[in-house]
Amino acid sequence: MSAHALDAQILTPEDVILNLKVAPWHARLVAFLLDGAFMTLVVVLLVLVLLEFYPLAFTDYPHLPTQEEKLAVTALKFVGFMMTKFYFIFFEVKWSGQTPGKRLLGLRVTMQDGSTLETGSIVARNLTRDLETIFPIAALLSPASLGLEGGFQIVLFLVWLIALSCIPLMNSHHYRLGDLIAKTMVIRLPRAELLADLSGTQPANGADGKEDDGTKDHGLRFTREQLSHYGAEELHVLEDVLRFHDDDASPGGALVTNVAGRIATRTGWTTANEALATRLSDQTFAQEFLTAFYRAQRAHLEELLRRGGRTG
Amino acid sequence: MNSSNETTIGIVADARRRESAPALRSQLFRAEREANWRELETLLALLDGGQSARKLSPEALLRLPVLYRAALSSLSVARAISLDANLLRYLESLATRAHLMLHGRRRPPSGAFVRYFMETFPRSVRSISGVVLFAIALIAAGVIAGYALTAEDADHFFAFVDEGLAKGRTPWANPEDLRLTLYDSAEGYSLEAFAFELFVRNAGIGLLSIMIGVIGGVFVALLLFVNGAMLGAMWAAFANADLGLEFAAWVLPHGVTELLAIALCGAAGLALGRALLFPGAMTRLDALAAVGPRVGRVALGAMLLFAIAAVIEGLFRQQVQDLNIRLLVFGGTLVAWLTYFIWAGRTGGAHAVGARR
Repeated sequence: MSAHALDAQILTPEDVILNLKVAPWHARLVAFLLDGAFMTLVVVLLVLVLLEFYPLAFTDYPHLPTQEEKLAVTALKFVGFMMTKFYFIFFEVKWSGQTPGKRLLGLRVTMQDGSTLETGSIVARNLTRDLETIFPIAALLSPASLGLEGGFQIVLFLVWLIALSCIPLMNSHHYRLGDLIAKTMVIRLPRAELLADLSGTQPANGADGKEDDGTKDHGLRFTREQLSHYGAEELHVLEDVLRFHDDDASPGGALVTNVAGRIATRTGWTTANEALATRLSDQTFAQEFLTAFYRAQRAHLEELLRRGGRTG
Repeated sequence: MNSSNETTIGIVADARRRESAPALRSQLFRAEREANWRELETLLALLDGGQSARKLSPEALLRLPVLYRAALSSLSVARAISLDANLLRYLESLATRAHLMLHGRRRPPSGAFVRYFMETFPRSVRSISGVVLFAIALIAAGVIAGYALTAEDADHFFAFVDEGLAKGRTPWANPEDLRLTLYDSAEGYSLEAFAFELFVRNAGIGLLSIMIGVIGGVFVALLLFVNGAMLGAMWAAFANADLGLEFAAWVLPHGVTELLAIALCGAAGLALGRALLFPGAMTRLDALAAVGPRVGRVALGAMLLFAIAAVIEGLFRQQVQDLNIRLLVFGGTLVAWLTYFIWAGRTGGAHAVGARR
């Protein structure tokens, strides 16, 4: 099980290494767009409510604005400012490194070394957010809004800004500028389910009622010689086939019969059990065969592991 | 089919267990601990679902760290003995989620807000005191330059002050008009609205100057100097009409707080720029990361300073016209901030000496 390129390892205080999955950049982009949409939605709603009460609030007044109108508009500006500048900080502080967008996509902010995420780091990682998002867009659409004049100045600044916002694409952990400043990273929350043990913890207690004792003891036994052909990697592939692809079709018929046939031939089981081998084209039997083989192979490899041998 | 000399592997007889019981070591291992894992999973699901930790029973909360450590040890054992990939993935995910729940982020304890302002913030400011002083010096240099150049030749005024911003307050304005701008109460203006607007404008500038620091500290330095020069030129315009002291009394009660906040934001930007340009013995990334959280804490505090300045400017300034009271407020806030940033949160402070017996 070699470390995937997108794994980040942290050491817990209990001295156990945990492998975290770094969030892919597109998931982070989608989360950011969602958060942006939520913010925009709230601001639009506020504006609509304001216009409901003060229809002239944003027009050139035919009359001098009243105190009330001025207060309403500036209060809205204030709320808008707080929302846009502190949205991420607020949620990441409140929800332990998650915003609504991140939560929807199962992402979360952690420290790169797995230590506790402090408020200072959360603020720090969000300080540069405008620089990475709004600024390049503003520089593209309307350079004058950033006080830029002249083609050369604009091009230079634009290149610099776009380079800054492309940092996540240029490093393996998809750190953005804010992550580099705060030493944080965004990970994908692991969601693994514990499935039943394939090596069969309950073969006789009725879980597989349709299989009577006769089928169970077809004499699906394997010799040490037959089990010496495969290692842990192949075992995991077999586990994958049995768990998730037992109904898949392959070019030569059902996947399981195909796999079972190959294993039987490769290990030499076919030549040792010619009578049974003819039944391998039957899907049900092929599945039984693979399950039995999986169990025997795992027992064999785990025994090797226990003795300090290699399983690869 | 099995001749007697063939070794049968896969079924390790265990006399104490029934035939249907697990026999692989990894199976025994799982059978013994699965209940604990499931319990932890349930607890985590409750907490993940937004259930606040306070709503969990005390017993459940006490179980959490125990179950977490059990899951970690299970993971270590499983890595050593089990070849069940699904089990390993599950334990890895369970341990990670529990780790994040327990160590990922401490829920701020009650009083965290107070402690932030009594200890963390002033300490963070002191930890970058060099750049803070540099930022203040830049603003001061700007003020002096702006004042001196405008006093020398009034034509320099518009080199520092934008015409729209001056709103007629120029060296050529009628002294009586200038006086009025210092004392008229906000001509029918909503004070709360004014305070809001001031905050939004100033805090925006503050955040901008931190961001600019990442592009390169030079621009921040320039921004600080120019801001100071603007103030200096304005001051010179009023001094020209013999209103120098009145202008100071008008601008400084909130100006102290506001300039300090701008200096802090500028210092934060400068600290980032310095880490990038002069990382010293560290790599640039390490230098940036070393200063990052401190910059974050300073920025957060600076926002509060902007809010305080906006309240003073928006509410107090327009309602208090007395010169002496204005000067008193200026002196008071100056002394208060100096005391705060120099002594707050120091372990060696007067009250801490008493605490140490």
